[in-house]
Amino acid sequence: MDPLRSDRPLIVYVDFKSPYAFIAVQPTYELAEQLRIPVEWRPLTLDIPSFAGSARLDRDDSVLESRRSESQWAWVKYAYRDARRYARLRGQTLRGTTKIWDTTLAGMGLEWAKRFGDDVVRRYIETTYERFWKRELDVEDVEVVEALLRECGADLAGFRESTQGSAREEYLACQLQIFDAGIFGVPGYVVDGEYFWGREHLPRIRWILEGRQGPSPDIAYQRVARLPA
Amino acid sequence: MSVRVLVDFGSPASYLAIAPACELEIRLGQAFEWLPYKGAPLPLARPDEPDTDRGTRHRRVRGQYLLADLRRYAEARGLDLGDIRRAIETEPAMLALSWLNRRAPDLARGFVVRAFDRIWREHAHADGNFVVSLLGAHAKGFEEYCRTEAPQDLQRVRTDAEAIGAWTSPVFVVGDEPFIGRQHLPIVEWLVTGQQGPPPI
Repeated sequence: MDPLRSDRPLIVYVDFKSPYAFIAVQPTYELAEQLRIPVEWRPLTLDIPSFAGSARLDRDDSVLESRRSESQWAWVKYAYRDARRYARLRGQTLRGTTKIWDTTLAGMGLEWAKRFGDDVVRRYIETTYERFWKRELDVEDVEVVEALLRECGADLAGFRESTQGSAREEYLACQLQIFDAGIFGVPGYVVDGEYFWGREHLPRIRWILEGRQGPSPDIAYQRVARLPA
Repeated sequence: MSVRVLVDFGSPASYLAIAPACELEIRLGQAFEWLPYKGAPLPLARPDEPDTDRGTRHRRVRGQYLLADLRRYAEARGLDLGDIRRAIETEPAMLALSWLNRRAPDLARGFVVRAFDRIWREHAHADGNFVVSLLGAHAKGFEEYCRTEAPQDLQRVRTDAEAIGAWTSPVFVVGDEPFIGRQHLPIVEWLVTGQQGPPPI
């Protein structure tokens, strides 16, 4: 797997524990629908403590344990607030997580879902995000991920094995390969071999996908054609 | 609904926000309050930092990305930012902007545009002589202000910004809601114009 190449015109890296990736899913699908292009969704399991420290909260969001500097807290608090206000505009629920989840299994679930077509992938991505950010999904529990895959239309034969042993090692090696290619954050978009971090780049990504006609647009969160009913 | 724009003259991200922010201010027909704010610098790459662990490596990779990202959007506007990591003297411009907000706030936007261009387009220093020349007739009293009330004014901006969750620039404050980065300008416009139509998301 080449982290910067695909037979599809757009690669999108996501991690289910990223609130910014969550709120990027719908605008990304809207862009793909408008341009009628297939998207290759890929999991990127972030190692958040390595760059943003770590903390554990109780269900009332009180801090139980923190390994974060003041500046890391400022960044994290702003990021959640920012993502939450945009989620609210879309009618999405985004409750802060109480710990930093290991989303490796959910990422493997995404790779597995791809075997069953784009509709299954979309259902899996949307359902996982929606429930995870309502705190209704334990993405570290293999039985939960299996149930979710089944619900989204995937056949489970062989899935459990794909999360263990050498298959797991292969997944983790692939994650390192992605990071080595300079892809460090989500949502991460790769178009024409160029990496963009964040949904604010969608105007430029659209411009590239449409053949770079006219002046290049600036970064911006854009108005979209429709909102959920 | 009021809009405050917090800018750091040493920040290329602030610089790239100036033109679209000015366009929005003019389009809305509403004066923004332009304030000097020295927030945290962008975590840009430090090429000499060894990759001792995953966190260090992440910072380096992210820093390299941020540099490249600033450059690609600058180039799209025909701008060459030069050495983004160079040391930039920002205090004179910060003081002058703070002074103008007291003395002649109508001139603040023009000052911001000129000072940013001096640093980031012309790659020159916005030193004391330069800012005094920009202040023109309003330079009288500036030196006294720098010695007396300016530090408190600058600190007040910083304290107020951090109290509402800002930590780096540029920051657009609509009411009391901070938006960091020029990508938020569509929602700033949407909020100021009464939330008409679908929101930017």
